[in-house]
Amino acid sequence: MSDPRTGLVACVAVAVAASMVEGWVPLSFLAAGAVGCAVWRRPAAVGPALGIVAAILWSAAWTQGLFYADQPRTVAFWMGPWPIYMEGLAHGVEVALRQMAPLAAGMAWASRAGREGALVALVGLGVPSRLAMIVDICLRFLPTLAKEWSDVVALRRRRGAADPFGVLVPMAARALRRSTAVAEAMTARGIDPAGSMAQPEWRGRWVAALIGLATAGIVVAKLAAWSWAAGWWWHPVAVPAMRALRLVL
Amino acid sequence: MTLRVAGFTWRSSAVGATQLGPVDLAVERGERVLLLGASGSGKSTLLRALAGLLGTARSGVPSGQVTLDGLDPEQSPVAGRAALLGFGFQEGRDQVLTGTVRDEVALGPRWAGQTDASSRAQAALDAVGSRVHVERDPAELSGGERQRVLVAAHLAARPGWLIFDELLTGLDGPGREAVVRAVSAIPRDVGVVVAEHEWSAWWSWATRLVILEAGRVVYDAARPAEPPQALLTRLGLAPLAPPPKVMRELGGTLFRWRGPLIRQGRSLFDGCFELRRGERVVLFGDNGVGKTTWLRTLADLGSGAWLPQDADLALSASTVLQEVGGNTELLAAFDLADRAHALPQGLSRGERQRVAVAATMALSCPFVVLDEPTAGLDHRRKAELGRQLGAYGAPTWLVATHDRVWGAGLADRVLEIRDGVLRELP
Repeated sequence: MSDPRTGLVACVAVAVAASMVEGWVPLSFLAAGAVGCAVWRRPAAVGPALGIVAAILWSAAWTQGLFYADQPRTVAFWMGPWPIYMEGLAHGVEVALRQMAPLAAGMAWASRAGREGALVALVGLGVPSRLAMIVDICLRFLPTLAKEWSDVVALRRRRGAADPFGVLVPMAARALRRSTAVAEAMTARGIDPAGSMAQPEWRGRWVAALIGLATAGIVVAKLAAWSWAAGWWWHPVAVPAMRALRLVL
Repeated sequence: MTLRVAGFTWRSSAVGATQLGPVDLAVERGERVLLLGASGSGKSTLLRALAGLLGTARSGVPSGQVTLDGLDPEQSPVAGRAALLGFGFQEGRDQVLTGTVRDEVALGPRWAGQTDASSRAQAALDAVGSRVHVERDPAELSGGERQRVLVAAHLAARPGWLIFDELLTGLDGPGREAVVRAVSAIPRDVGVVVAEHEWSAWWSWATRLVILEAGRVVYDAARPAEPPQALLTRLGLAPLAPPPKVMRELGGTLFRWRGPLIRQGRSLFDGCFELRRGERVVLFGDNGVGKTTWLRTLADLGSGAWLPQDADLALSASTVLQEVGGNTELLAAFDLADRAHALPQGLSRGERQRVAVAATMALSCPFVVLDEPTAGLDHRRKAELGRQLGAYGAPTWLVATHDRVWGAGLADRVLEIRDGVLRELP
């Protein structure tokens, strides 16, 4: 899945699956797979990844445990005067897994694709090249802007300047000059965002197509499961399949 | 196959900007043109006119003709323009558009719809002799390497002409050599125009010399064996002798620093330093050795005033007079009296640099730290800055520069960071 377009399709598939699949067991597999991919891409990120996982699980479980309003609900324990509900905790874990899967998949894809891969993928999958280029250039200059902001704040502190809006003057002037320079650099190199970018050959397009089909299959199955559960449409022949689907969808 | 301006004039709408022309100039493919002119003589405007970029960023009224093989470059489609003509300029960081060397060089051809963009990029990198890893971020390279990669990025489009405006600004010695080598390696069928204040680095490379004065061409001929010193001196383009040193009594120690200097867990260099009251110190060192980090550390350590390389970041007042704390004497000393009520950020680059230095000098701090205040200044402006630093404002300062002659002529003491050690030069 080295092509960033295939990776982006896979990310979308994980996001769709995470919003469709029910129950913490399949969601756990999905989230674990995505987190595993992210860590595999960047082994040095194991520590921060575990921290993020713990933070998401902790915050989602506690907030859901505290504010769970559906019935029936069972008090698991009391935290001072506030009840913590068992069903809320379980729902919180499920919500956390749902958030974690696409987040980790996105991180894995971004660390593999880089900014250029992201640009190729976005343009390749139909995002207007002007919009994709704007996003790309903004990302490119974020660290520079952060450093300049820090320099301006330090300079003004040294001068005893109290007006907080004064920081904006040099930042805005620098940003305007930079935008001119970037526009000149792009024009001089023949980069016309209104035009189109040559796409490299998409070697993994069959894999992407299969992932896309599987994702579409999940959506259709989910619609069918909803339809059956609501009593809108069902067929006796499909009942066993529907029962199986209801276990995970 | 000619790049030509005929009877070209440019009436800028910016206050105080140089009015260009009329200018007549024709550059054939294969020519190596060195364009000289003092700050504000109209070099950058002329180069942008040649490149068809005046409409991108400048406001003014053009007249006359600019043609590239008979076509107006400004009217040619952007997507195909790079295959006709490339344009590179200073502020290399602002020209970096991607996150890897490979993508940076291939970007232009890729947007031009060329399917062999990757092989073109590699060929261009080979041609300019770049040995950096293609996965590295160009923004993180040294200034010289970055400019070399950007030259390759223009070359990958296989243009007929290349135009470079102040490529060497802010680069150390090795960086300058690398860039000059890269431009020298451009195929002989490409016409190249280079404008530079530090023209001596390009002298032997050029086949033709063009000199501008106040928006008009005053010299246009094959590059002579020896530089036309009288003309260059009159225009302030020849290096000027530093002002005579005045022996002064030095005071007590302001602060001491002992190394190593650590940044992000890595030791940049080791050494020790002591600054005495009234002392004037110049610091040399290649790009990336830690000069900027050290200067800021010293300013924090001794509560000194500090001006970063990008002097624009220091300008936040609504008038020049406010920026220098109402010090009219300082304004006069820095030739800014007639700009007292102008918006600092609206001035020309050279004027903004002077305002920022004057504003830093105006602070009541025990010493002043200036990081590369000569970057982008012509020889006359450098000499003036040296005179101003010597005569006005804080008597104690520490200045980092790549201009060794200028720096050594001014300072009581010269330091250099080299091979991980801070040492004093004799």
